Amino acid sequence: MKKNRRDFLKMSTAGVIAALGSYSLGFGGESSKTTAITTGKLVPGSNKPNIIFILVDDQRWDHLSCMGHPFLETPNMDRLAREGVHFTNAFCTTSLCSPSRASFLTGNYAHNHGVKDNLTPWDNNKNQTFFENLKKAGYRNGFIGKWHMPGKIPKLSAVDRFITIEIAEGQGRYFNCPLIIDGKTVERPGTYITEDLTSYALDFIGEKSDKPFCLYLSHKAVHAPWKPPKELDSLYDKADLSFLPHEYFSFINMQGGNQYEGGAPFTTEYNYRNYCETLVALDRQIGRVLDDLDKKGIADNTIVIFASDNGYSWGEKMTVGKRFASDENMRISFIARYPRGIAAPGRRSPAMVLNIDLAPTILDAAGADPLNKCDGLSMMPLLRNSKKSIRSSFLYEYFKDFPYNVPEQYAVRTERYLYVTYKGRRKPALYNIQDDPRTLHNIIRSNEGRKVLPELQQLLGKYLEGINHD
Amino acid sequence: MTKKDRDQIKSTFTARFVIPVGITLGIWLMLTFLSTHLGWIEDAALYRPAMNTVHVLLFVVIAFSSIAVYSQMFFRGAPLIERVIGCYVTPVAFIIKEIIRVSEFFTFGESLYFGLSPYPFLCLIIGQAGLMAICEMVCRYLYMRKSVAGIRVVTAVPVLMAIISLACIYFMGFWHWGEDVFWLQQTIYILLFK
Repeated sequence: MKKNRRDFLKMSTAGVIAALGSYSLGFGGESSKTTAITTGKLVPGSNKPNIIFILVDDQRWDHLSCMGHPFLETPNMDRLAREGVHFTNAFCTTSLCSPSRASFLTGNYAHNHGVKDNLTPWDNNKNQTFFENLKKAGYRNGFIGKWHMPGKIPKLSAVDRFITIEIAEGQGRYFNCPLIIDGKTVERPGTYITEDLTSYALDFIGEKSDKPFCLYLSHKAVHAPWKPPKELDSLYDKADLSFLPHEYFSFINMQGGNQYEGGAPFTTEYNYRNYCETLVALDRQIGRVLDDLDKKGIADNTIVIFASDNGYSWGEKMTVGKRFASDENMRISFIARYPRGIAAPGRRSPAMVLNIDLAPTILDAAGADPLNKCDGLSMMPLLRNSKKSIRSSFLYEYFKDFPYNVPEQYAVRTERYLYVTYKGRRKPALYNIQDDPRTLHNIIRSNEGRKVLPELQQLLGKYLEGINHD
Repeated sequence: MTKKDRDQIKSTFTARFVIPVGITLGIWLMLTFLSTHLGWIEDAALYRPAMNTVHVLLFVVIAFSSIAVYSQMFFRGAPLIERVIGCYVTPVAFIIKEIIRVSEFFTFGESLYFGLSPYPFLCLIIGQAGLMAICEMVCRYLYMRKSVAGIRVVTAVPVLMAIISLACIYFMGFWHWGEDVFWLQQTIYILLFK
């Protein structure tokens, strides 16, 4: 049966409503359901869980088959959602690769960790990652995949295995991508990057050690230019794309401002199909990791957290890319599975969670010391179901990003509203997300807008206090 | 074509410059307007083909209209300097429009630097030179066939110009899909503005 965009949205909404229903009916406040953390088979004598964080690039929050996508098949991501907690109201605080990655690692907003765009370097002396505290707590740490932050690849003293990408300014390539393995460049002819990184990840998991491990598996996929492996290259060639937003068209890359976004000179349809096929390839590799955990008998004592660094617009408001404060770009996929530490697995949580929550959550779960300075909050109370929510608003920031055609933005997002301010000549905007999830109607001059604006301005002002805007 | 040949066919300034350049500029302006004003078409089956057509035409006008402008001006006796200026009017108008657009959020210096971006702006400027060189040789050939005047069709300057232009475009736009040049642009940006 053909599904149009409206059906797709209906299905997504229905899913969220169903999750909300089940939340209120059965699971609220049942912290007692949390099972005690027990010893994993690979780490005898340890009561600490293993941790795997899988980071995807540019995956939209609604691009999983369990979110009702019309044709995308992601059985392994769905499995994570089925066996864990799927946060359907998750966001990044800056919808850009480098700042978002730094936020995952440090638990801080971009104005605090300093990686404001894809050009401002990571300061290894200033920033503290969760790896450091995990190391002190007795963990064996591995970082495998895309580091992709400006400047030289740093020496992460708390990371025991560091495999990353330098080519193409750290973006890497889908095929034959050389890797930097513990500081040395290694050519990888005949490889597909998602599969190659996963193989290294499995090697890391399988290393014999008496310590629990933390693996940070950071994929290039599904960043532009989207290239699926050969066997998936034509999987969605005939897929019906009528559900894409009304305002998209084939040559959207020719629209002023879109020329630097990935995908030119190909058509939107070609790019979107490749995006989905590349995502399927990624899903299969996630399956390899999950199967490996099962085979090793350590799945129960391993926390698997899956997230994307930011969302992506596919034609919404005639844009492609991720650089504006809108739900398409700010929302991310975020799933946590931990059989021994999650209450009521298989639920969807509507709690507002952020990329900056990853670091405190991991440290909390591991029983490690918290970070000295951290803007994020632990999601463990949500996973244990002892709390229904940990925040009601957050700051979104986007710094100048030459040559991308996007103004500097500061926004505050609450459950109901998105208030965006821009540097430069563009006027601020206010959207009622509940009524207008696609942020098509600026209500700043409406009665409703005038009523809520002062409170939102005050909230944004509070968030912006102390930020150096230079 | 010699000055004498050109003088024989030379039209008025309006006919040899204003009309060919004005028509191209007018088409560009109209398509630019349409490119952002078709949202009222509610039927996607109409909207998408319309937007695709407008954007493809817009691309053709910006990138390739110099073929028409150059040949028109050539056969109306415009001297080389006029032909070159005429061919650059629409592409430069497009670049200025883009500089003004991005000045909404970039500083004046950054906006100017944006206008020098290899893709698409420098590619466009250099591409015009190549197109003019090719057009020059094609027009010479057509003129030679129409007249008795013996002129050399292929000469060193346009051939060299065409080769350099194609090589630059390949390097800026197609070598690693422009990745290397993009990062060079970013590096210079950091040096200049960060």
